[in-house]
Amino acid sequence: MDLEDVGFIDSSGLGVLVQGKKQLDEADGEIALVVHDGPTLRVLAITGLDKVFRVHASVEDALGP
Amino acid sequence: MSANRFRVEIPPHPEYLGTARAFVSAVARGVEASEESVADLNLAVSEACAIALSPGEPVRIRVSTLEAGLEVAVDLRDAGNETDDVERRDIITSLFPDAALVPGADGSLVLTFVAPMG
Repeated sequence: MDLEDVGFIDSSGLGVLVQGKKQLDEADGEIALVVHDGPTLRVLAITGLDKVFRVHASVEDALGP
Repeated sequence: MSANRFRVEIPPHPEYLGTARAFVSAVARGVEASEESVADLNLAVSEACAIALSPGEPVRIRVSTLEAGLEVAVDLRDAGNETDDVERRDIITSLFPDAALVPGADGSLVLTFVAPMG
């Protein structure tokens, strides 16, 4: 999921991401987040979710081998 | 620096949280806060206002300019002990460790913190 253009996210938005990850995990799917800087990455770090999600700096990195 | 005081009330609906963020952002930029400080303030105020949402009751936000930064106060209907509210308070405390719940004038609670403006 590309979050590069997300200007603001709080715990409500994070809750949606976590719920989506849970559903994908149960379906043997996976999700990666694309964000390389700024407030969104900071929120992920504050909440520890940068350790829960795979976080990449670009879509290419996320889709790479 | 003499304290300037600002206050706003928003309707108790999530779609107005952006208005609260715009309000505190404007105050912060008025004291030439860094964009990182503005972002932290936005997040904390958004979480505080989300805790404060209560049907029929406007959400009240007050901001005072101090030497140490911006003092923010958001009136709460209660301490917010739902799991979501606890997580929201944890985020606020992560950003501003001095965040505290203090008694309000009318017996309610006020979530208050000082946001340094770097």
